[in-house]
Order: sequence, then C-alpha cells, then structure tokens
Amino acid sequence: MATDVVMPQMGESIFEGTITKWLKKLGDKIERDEPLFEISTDKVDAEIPSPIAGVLTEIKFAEGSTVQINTVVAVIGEAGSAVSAPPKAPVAADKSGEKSEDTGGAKPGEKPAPADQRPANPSASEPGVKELKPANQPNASQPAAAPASSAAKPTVSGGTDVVMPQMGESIFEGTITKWLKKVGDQIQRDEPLFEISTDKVDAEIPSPIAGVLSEIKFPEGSTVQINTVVAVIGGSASESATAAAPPATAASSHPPTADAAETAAHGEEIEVDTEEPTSAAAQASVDAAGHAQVQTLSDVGHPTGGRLRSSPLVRRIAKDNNVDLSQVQGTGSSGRISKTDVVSFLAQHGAGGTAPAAVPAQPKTAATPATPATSPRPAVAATATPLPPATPGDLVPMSKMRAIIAKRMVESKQTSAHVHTVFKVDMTRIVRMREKEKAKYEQRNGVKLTFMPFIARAVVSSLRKHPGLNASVEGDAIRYHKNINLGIAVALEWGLIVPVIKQTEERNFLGIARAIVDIADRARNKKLKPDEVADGTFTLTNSGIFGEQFGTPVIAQPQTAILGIGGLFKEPLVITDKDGADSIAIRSVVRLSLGFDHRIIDGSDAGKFMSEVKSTLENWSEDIG
Amino acid sequence: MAPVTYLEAIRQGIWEEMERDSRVFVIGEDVGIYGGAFKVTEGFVHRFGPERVVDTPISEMAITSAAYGASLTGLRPVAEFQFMDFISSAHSQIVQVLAKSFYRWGAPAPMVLRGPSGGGVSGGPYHSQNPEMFYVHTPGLKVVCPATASDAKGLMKSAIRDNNPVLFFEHKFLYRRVKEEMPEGDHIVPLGKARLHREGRHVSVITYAAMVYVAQEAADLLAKEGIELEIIDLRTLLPLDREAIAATVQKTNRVIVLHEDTKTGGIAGELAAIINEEAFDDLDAPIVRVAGLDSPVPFSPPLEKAFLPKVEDVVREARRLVAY
Amino acid sequence: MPSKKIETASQTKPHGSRNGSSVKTKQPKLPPIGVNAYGIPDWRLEQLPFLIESEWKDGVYGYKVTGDTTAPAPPMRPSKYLTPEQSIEIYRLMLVNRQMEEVLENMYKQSKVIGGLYLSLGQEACSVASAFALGEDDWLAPMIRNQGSMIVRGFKPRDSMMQYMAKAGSPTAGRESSAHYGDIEKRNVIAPISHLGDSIPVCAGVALGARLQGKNIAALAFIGDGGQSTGVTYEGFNFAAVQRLGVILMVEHNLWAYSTPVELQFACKDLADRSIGYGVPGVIIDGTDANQVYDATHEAVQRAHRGEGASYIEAKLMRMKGHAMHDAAVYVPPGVREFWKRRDPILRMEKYLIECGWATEADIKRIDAEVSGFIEKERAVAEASPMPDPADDDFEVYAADNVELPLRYGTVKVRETNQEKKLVESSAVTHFK
Repeated sequence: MATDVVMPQMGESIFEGTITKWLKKLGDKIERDEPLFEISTDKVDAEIPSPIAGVLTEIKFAEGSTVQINTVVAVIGEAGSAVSAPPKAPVAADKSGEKSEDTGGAKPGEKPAPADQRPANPSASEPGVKELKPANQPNASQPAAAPASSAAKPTVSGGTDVVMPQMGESIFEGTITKWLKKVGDQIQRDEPLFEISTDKVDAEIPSPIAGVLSEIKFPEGSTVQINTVVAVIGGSASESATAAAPPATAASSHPPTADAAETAAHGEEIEVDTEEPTSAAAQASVDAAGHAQVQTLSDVGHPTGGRLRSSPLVRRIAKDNNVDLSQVQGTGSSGRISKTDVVSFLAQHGAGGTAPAAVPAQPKTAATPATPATSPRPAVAATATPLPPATPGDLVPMSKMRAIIAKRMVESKQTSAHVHTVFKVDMTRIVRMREKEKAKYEQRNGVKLTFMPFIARAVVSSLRKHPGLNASVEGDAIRYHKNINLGIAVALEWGLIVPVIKQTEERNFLGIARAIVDIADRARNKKLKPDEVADGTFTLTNSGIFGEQFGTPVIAQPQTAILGIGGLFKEPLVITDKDGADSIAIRSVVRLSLGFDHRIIDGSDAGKFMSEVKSTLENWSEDIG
Repeated sequence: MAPVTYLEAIRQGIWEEMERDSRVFVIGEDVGIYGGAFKVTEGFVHRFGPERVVDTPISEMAITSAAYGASLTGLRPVAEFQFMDFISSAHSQIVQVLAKSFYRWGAPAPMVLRGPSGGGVSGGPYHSQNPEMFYVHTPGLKVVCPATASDAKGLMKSAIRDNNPVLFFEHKFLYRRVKEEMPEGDHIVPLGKARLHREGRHVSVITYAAMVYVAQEAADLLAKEGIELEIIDLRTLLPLDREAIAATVQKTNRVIVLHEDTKTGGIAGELAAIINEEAFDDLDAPIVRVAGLDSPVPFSPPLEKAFLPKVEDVVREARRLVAY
Repeated sequence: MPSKKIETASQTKPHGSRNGSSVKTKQPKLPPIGVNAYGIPDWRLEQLPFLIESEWKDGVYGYKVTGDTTAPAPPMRPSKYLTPEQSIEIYRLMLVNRQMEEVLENMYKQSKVIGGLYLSLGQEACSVASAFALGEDDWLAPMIRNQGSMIVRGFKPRDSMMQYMAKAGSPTAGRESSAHYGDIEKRNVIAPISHLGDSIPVCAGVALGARLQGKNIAALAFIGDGGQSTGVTYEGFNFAAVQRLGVILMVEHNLWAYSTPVELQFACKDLADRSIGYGVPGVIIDGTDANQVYDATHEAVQRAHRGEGASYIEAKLMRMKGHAMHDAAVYVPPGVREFWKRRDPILRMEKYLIECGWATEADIKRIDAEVSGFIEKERAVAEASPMPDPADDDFEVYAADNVELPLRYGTVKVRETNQEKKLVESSAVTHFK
C-alpha cells in the first residue's frame, strides 16, 4: 500500500513550503521517521521524516519547488514497489524556464494557452458588448403592444371618478365583465355603467352621477382592486382618452374567467397575444408589458398612497383568519393597524376567505358564533302567507359573520341529532340569597353577583358527574374531555360571541363569577384573544333576557350539549313543606332547556344531568365567596 | 417574623448555607473581623472561625483563583468583591479559567463570586457599575441579579448549591431600601427562572435588579391611565428564562426592556434577539430599550440621575407603544 | 526491574520518596552551597560565564554573547535524598519525556499533529525530578512544556500524543489542545492555563482547600522567566505566602520567553531574589541537574507538609528548541546552544549513574531500548484513535447540579467554634446611607 508524504504545516500561519533538498532518491529504501527531504518556510527550516517505512516510489516536486501545505510531494511504497520513473521536471520548469529543453521546445504548458485564448477574449470585450446592446434596443423600440400602453396615458381633468366597489367585507378585487356605456355616452345617475364579477357576487354597477362617460380606464376582463378608479364621468377629456384604447396592457383583455383574473392579478402570462414569439422579441415584450403591469398593480394596490402599516402580530392574525388587512381601519400612529384593530375587525366581520367547507375547523377568532341564542328564532312561519307579487325587497349579501353563522348552524343541525329537554328550576332560594348578599358581595369582591355563576357552577359540578355531556364525537369514537371549558354566549350589538372559560372545574364560585364578568366585559370591548373563543366543551346561552320561557338552542360543534337559560319569572308553585303538607306559593322560576346530541347522549343521561343541576340550584349550599 | 432588608436576606442566605454545609466558606477582603465593607459577613468569623471566613490581600485575582482552587478540592467558596466594579481585576481568571473549567477538562467549579453593583448612590465611575454583561457573554458562568429580598436569599442559597461558578450581583441601592418578610424554612429560588413581578395586559417591561422598582413606579402611574404594565423580573441573566420572555410577549404583544446597565451591548439587545426568535409574530409594536447612557456612571447626583433610566422614560415609552 | 519500572511511568500512582536501595553506591561527596549577593542559597556548581545582551551593530539589532561559552559541563551535585533506584527511575522518566517529544516532532512534520507543538528539550530534569518529589496528595500545575511532570503524575505518553493530534481518545476528547489537560480526581494535575501565572493562585486555592480539610499539601506551580512577569504571579504567590500555603513556585529560568531574552524581562540578577520580597525561602539551582531539582523540591515539599508555607525555586537552564516548531530560534547567539547542549540533563544523569556505579552502559542501552518500545506502543495507540465526532460532544458548559461533588480530602476540619452564635442584624452601613 502506498503512503503519501505531504508538505507539513510548520506553524499556524504557514501555508506553503519550499523543498530545499531530497535526502533520498527514487527507489531508495527508507525507515519511518528517517529524514526524507528538507524544507524551508517563512518561519523555519526542517528535515521532514518519512511517515512510514518503505521504498520511495515517487517524487512529485523537484528541489526548489514551493508547494502548498498538505500537498502530496512524494509517495512511499512497500518494499519492492514499482518506481514511477519520470522525475519531477514540471515545476522546475517554472524556475528554469528556457533552460530546460523539454519545456523550451514544447511550451505546451501555460504560455501557449493564454495565446490561444487571446482571440477569444476580444470578442468578449467592447465590440462584443456593443453587439449585445442593439439586440435589446430593437425590441424595446418595436412598435409592439407595449409602447401603446405608455402612449395611451389618458388624461381627464375635473371629472368624477367611478371606482371598483367593495362587494363584501373580504372582497379586495373585482373583474369588469362588461362596459354598458361607451366613452362619450351620456349617462344618468344610478344608470348601470358596467358589470362586475367578484368571488361573492356579480353585479351591475350604477353611475354615481349624471354626465358624459369621459374615460374608461380598464377594458373588459380586467381585474382590479377595490376602490381603483375604473372610469371618469364628466370633466374635460383629452382625445386619446376617449379611445380608451383600454389601457395598454393589452395583456389585460382576457375573458373574465377566474384563471384570467388570477393571471392578470399576478401579472403573468402576458405574452398570450403575441403571435410570433421569436425568443428575443418575446422576451422583450414580456419585460415591457410586465413592467407596465407591475406599475398598474402598484398603483392599484395602494389606494391610500403609503404602504400598509401593521405589525408582525397583526399580519399573523390576518393570515390565520384570512383577513385582508386593507379592509381594516388602523387606529395606531400613522394609521397603523394594531392588534386591537384587527381583533375588533374580526369580531365584527368574522374571518375572511373561503374556509374549506368539509371541516368545521375549531374557531380561532374572536368572532365565532356558536349559537344564535339571543337572536329570534329563524322565522319558521315566514313562508306561510303568499303575498301578492309586490316589490321584490332588497337583496343584501350576507355579512361574512352572518354567512358563517348560517353555515355553522346548518352544519350543526346536520351533524348532531338534536333533542331538547326542559327543566323547571325553583330559584327562590338563590334569588333571596342574592338579594341579601349582592351589595356586600360586590363590595367585597369587586364583582356583581348575578345568576350566571350559580348556574355555571351547578352545570360544572353536574358535568363532573356526567362526563358524557362534556364530550365530542370523533369519527366512531367519543372523546371525553378532561377539562370543562365553558362557553358563555355574549350578545353584542354587532352580533354574538361565545368566549370560553377554560378549565372551569378548577375554579370556585368566585373564580367563575369573576371569569364571566371578565370575558363578558372584554367581549364587549373587543379585547378577547383568539384562543379565548376556542376549545369550548359545553355552552351556556342565556336567552331568557328577552322574556322567553325557554329556547331550543343549537349545539356548537364539536360539542354535544348546550344549556339554554330561560327567563326568570315569578310563578305560583306547589310547595311541599317538611311535614308533607302542600301549599301554593309564589316562587322565582327559571326554565333550563338542554339541547343534546342523541348520537351519544340518551334521554336518561340528559335527565340525570339536568336533575342534578336542578337539585344543586334549588338546594344551594356552596359558599359564594 | 419582621421584614428584613435585601442585605440581611443575603446575610441569612450565606449564614444558613454555612451552617447547613461545612464545605461552604467565605473569602474576600475585610470579610473577617470587620465583616465586609457592607457588613454582609459581619459576625461570621466568630461563628465559623477564620478558616471559613478568610481575609485576603487586596487581590481580586487571588480571591477568585483561590476560591476556584478550593472548589477543585470539593469546597464551595463564596468569594466577595468589595465592589463588583473590581471584578475586572479578576476578569482573566473568571472567563478563562472558571468558565471554561468544566468544558475544557471536566473540572466543575462550584463557587459564588458576589458583591455590590449598580448606581444610584453617587459612587462614581468605579463604584457604580453594572458589569454583568461581560460575563453573560461567557459560556460556563451563571449570572444572577436579584431584585427583592426574598429572591436575594433564595437565589443566594441556590447559587451556593450550584455546581458551577455563579456571579451574584447584589444591587447596593437595594441593600437597605427594600424589605420583605422571609419565607419560612429552607427558602430556595431556582436559578434561570424569571419572576412575574406584576401582572398586566398592555405592555411588558422585562427588567431586573433595581430597575424592577422603576418599572413598578411607572406601572402605578400608568394604571391611572388604564395602561397595565406587566413586569418580568429576570432574576438570572445567564441562563435566561426564554420561556418567560416569550410568554409575556405573547400575552401583551408590546415590550420594553429596561436595564440600568449601559445600552450598547446590554441584555436588552440579547432579549430583543430572543423575542425575534421566539415571538416575532406576537409583536404588535417594536421592541423598546430603556437603559443607562453609554457612558461611565457619573458621580455628581444630577449627572448620575441623567445617566440612570427613569420612571418618566418608562411611562413615555409605554404610552408610545400603546398608541403605536 | 527496569522493565517493570518502565511501566511505572504510566501508572496512576505518583512517585514519592522511597526507602531502601539495592544498589551499592559510590556517590561523590556533597560540594558546599554558596549564596548570591542577597544571601539566596545557590546550589549550582558553576556560575554562567557569559551574558546575553542586545546590541546594535552594523545597522542590525540583535543579541550577542559576552564571555566564554566553551566551558565543559560541571559534575552533578549528589542528591541528599535520592536512592539509586529513584535516580534510575528519574532517568527513565526523563527518557520517556524526551522520546515522546521526539515522536511528536516527527508526527508534527508528518502532519499528524494539529496546531502548534511545544517541546521541552533541555528541560526534562526540571519537569521530571520536581514532580518526582511530590507526594500522592500533592498537586501539580504544569505549563505547556512540563509534560514530563504529567507523566510522573501518571499520565501516559499516549495522552499527550492524542492531545496533540486532537484525537477523540485524548483526555479532553479533542476539546483542548496540546498539554492542556488535567485530572482532579486521581492525579491532582491542574490543566495548564495559557494565561501565564493564572495557575499560581489556583494552586494557592487548592492548598487552602486541602488545609480546610485538615491536610497540609504541596502544590507545585511552574512558571517561566517570561511568565513570572505577570501581575497574577505576584498576586497569587503573595497570597500563598501570606496564608502560609504550601505552594512551590518553580521558576524555570530558561533564558527565552518566546524570543525575548531575560535582559528584557526583568532587571534583577537572579529571580530568586524576589523570594525575599515575598517573605518565603528561595533557592537557586541548576535546572539541568536532576539531583538539584529533586532535592530543592523535596525540601520545599517537606516544608509544605509541615505547614510552613510556600517556597521559591529558581532553576537555571535553557529552552533548547524554539518556542514552538515554527520557531527556528535564530535569535539565540552562537555558542549558547552548544554550551547548554553539553549540559543536556539526560546525558548528565547518564554519566552520573555510571560514575556512581548505579548503572552500566549496557543498563543504559537496555533502558533506552525499553523506553523506545514503550513509546512505540503508545504511539500506535494514539495514532489509532479516531478524531472526535461533533455529535459526541454535547458542548455542555455546565456541570450537572444533581451530582454530589466529593471532598478531595474527606471532610472539612476546622477549629471548634461557638455553634450557639446566631446571626444578628448587621451594623449600620459605612459607605452609603
């Protein structure tokens, strides 16, 4: 086996050494550690010992050669190894130059190579470069589509802008499918001017004002961002403007398919109309048109002028909830969108975008409605009376939030086998206790004493005994939740929200009371965090505040039960005293209605659960703190 | 039990450990009969003897190295620097020998280097410094900066029991200014865990040592405006409690890092980097640094006041962040 | 006997003074001890007959020799304490030291050593005979050139070789370079610290720690004529002196601090003069005479064990190689190296053993061959060790806290104190209110 001998590193900053003398000849036997050659470096001269015993079979560099460290300079073979004959002329050539016959004659080394290359070099220098430049320019100056765009700069002064309307909260662009007027046409206010198509709706857009259509800024098929000026009515139009040679971007005149809209929005595939795409020309037109397109987009993209100011957190919330931040009003400095802004936007509008319909994802926003408990029941009888065909009423697109509620409610009804059971509970004991305690309680604890924590507490203690109602269905399995995360429906002026008190089983009465006040306050002040409206395992909805007897609430998926709290009424009730004597008394009564999922909860389960709740409330004994 | 000062709490911590564990001994200048420049070890020599309360020549190098050498034989020295400003005289030993001992050759160095640091007392440039960051930049050390009396005691006891070199920066401004009732029994506060000093929802102030009280005053003022500061007391600068840092940012989304140490190269920069790494997407506003000026600590009170971070600074920055 | 003795070079148990001798001796008579101008005992049998000074000559700045460099080596001073067997053992260990370094030099030139290589040619007696005087409970703080002392403390040549080759099998598993390794569990060796003098106060601390455990130990710290210029040397040794700790400062006055001659390093004539300032006994010895090295260290160790405190030894010798392999040491003026070559510690010891009749030339040859065989085996082990895998290094800088660190000397032993004394509140602050 052959062993390489390398130029050693004789000092940390040394990177090369000169072989000053070979102490052995090719074919010589050598012992390990026996000096093989001498070197000289910047720092030191040294004899270098052989790393191994054997025969010197190859010397790769002649004396006088300077080689980098770790370069193999010789090879030691086993005894009897063949010696690689040619002594090391090559590097010596550098130094000896013409003296060496070999190198002098052939000069096949480095010198000829540069000479050969020389002809090649000029081609890459000045003249060649000049050749390249014209190659670009002809394209740029070709009377192709692109220049038209820049020449078309329509100029209208003093007119009324017509903008792409926002047809829904999460809509940020629309496609102009048809212009109903030509430039120069007279138009009345509210007379349809153009037709648009968006993700949500197709619509005719009426003129905001009466006048002459003096400019059309985008041709049919163009997809533009909302609030972009698409036409001008009135004012003094220039000649070129009327042509409306719908701008430029010949590229934009695609059929209004979704694909095309997508394409236009991204400024791609612009060369579609190019008939003969000779490569260079095509490239250039793409560049030019693409550039034009970029300009258009950037104009369109920032209707307010500056860039959108937000924060990493805001962008994350927006991304998670598919919110278009350009829709959100910023209240921070310089109009910056803060967390508060985006959270309250969510609370009002719900998450944007089109969520995949199949999976009712865990709500991640503050705005997820779980049950319409405080809203009137859907009008069941509304269709009963056929009325004369009068005016058709206004067709108003659902708000995003409404759309989500609609979807979730239907999903829930389709998912769970809803059954409802109603229990009448005598709250007199609690009512009296509350009357007596509430002033002191508030003073002591800083929290108003309401009925809600009593019911919540009773529900929690009953749920602990009846875990079947604190569960979810997962495929063919039932997940019994370890924690009781109690959702509490809170009515808002702009809708409904169901914040969740996590791990309610860990809280005592006062803890629950405080949590209810806290989340209700924060819900109303739009200060809930996204995770505070998620992961509920059972919901309470207090629909009684409007005077109803009881409701039949819809379960918030993936939960399997929901308790509706009816109104508190004074009612005559038969009371049995401790001696067994009956009498009629006026008592404070509430009706609790449990909506449960019969897939996994049977009537007996529900009944046991409810009677436990009833009993706890009627015989209240717990310290309320 | 009556409340005790930060200083007494430290004394208790060392005393209790010396009673509990004969391997613990004190070494430093004037620590014996005199009881130390700040009287931290007053009376110790009479209880534990001169062998365990070792007076030394004026040489931080010797104090540090002797403590290290003794730790190699299994002892657990608590070495005092009269002022932490003088730790620089032992810098070579601390960063080259102590800090690398375990990694280089597997020799643990259980020891505490303690002393008063910090300004606010007109100590001037050589008696007011906060030199902790030199050592936070040195892997192998632990750096502790307590803010409260009970933490000072509990952290001291943990530091003494730790198998690594622990630098214990006591804030001399707090020595006799803060008082607290000590928890009963063997009160231990683990190293590397931050403390929630005050809960709040709007802006987190991450700080340590005397600045905790600056943050607290600011929080009291801001509470009247409805701005709630959350105050995180780091307690240990090395290792840092990354989780607590991330958690408070995730909660409030706005952060002020406050420290008395000079701004450039202070812990605030490191915290900003950690927040970027752990909680960038939770930020609703930029990370703000409030720190000492990039100058020596001046002597004259008006100058020193200008040097030190102030309550107004925190209030102003918090308002700015809330409105951001 | 000899072959067994070779093995002791790599045993864990350090070498201490031993009793008995099985070899008949004809040791020469002890020559008298002189003193220098300040009354410091000088055990040498010759004074240096020349000076090395800087000079400006013909537009070139360099070092020149004034005086005679041709003097032959003096005889060795007979040891008061060493037995013939111990002397032979010291000789053997010096050979191990030297042959190990010769192998390292070859491996360096064969690109097997990573980084620098720092050799101790000419200093073997100082490394070996000093460490040989330490007892098992004593400590050693070597410098990079004192690998001989580490071998005496029980490390093997393979340890040093693997360190230099940055191998996984090295004592630091590739974390540290060259001679930078130690052992606090058995061999009591403090890993060398590049910051010169830093290990001196550490030795003081070790001695302090031992004393707290009821044990007076010696802690031998090496320092050079260059390294002793550092402030920590003073701070550390002064602390040891004040505390009466058994630190032995072995100052290897080897003439060159990298390239700087002693003329540019200190202004006193003998470094041992400084012992007066420290208030500890000092002695000047010939560092190429293993007997002087051993005896001086032995006496210092005895002092330390008696609790009498620190000692200062100045050993005069010369570093015969450059600072590291890349340094050809061309700054050494002509004649100086030749002068010291005649004082090669191993040759002197060889001659001494033969003159005393404790070994024959054949014995010497046999010992030499045995050491060669031993080094060869060590080299094979070292070369076979793999390089470290980063995956195997956790880069952990903290010692685990759930590990109980043992007291090196058993228990803390201090005087009885009044355990009834309670902590009382401290008196008013004096600095700040």
